[in-house]
Amino acid sequence: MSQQERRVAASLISALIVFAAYAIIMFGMYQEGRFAGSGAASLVGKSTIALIVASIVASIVLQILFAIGHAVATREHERMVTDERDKLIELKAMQISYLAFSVGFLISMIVLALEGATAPMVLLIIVVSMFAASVVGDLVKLALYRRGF
Amino acid sequence: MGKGQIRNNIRKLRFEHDEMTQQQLAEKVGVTRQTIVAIEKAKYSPSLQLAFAIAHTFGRPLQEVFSYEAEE
Repeated sequence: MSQQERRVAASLISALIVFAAYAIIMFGMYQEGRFAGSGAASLVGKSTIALIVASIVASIVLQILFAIGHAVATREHERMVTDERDKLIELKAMQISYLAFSVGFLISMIVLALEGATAPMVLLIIVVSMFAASVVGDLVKLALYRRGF
Repeated sequence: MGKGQIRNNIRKLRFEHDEMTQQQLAEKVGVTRQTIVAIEKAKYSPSLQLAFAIAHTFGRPLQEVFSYEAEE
């Protein structure tokens, strides 16, 4: 597995771990009825900020662990190189990720247009779309790195 | 514009240059080894700048390293 693939894998694993934790916590709050009151939108906002911070921290920690693991296993130091192919893969993944998020955003607007949908529900759909877009982007990157381009 | 195929002689040229490894070539032209692998397998078409850099490394004109085959 190349350095770039390890980086993407670390990002993907950290996103899955953090989002699983987020989903469990949010489901617990939902069962406690904390999304029923007037402070529900604020609660979603705070939890989303925490999710973003946790995702960044988890991604950095996992990338460091992957790099240490690789250095210990192979006993070699890899120079960090980003070339034109990496940039093209990044662009392609970003394009597809943006498309995935747009679909999620459209779904959230359709839900909002329907009677009975609450603002926190719509916000949660947008958060899930962000997560799904990030995962789709990482999967596209992995596929392109595996295929060559 | 129809899609053509860009072929290359990089593998042959590497062996003619003291069996240069993919890693050594990658370091000389400033890309990753995986990019050299992708170019050799014709899975990735390099930019003009990178193509010229590879040709320059082997001391050959561009057309001796890369060739273009138009699709029929």
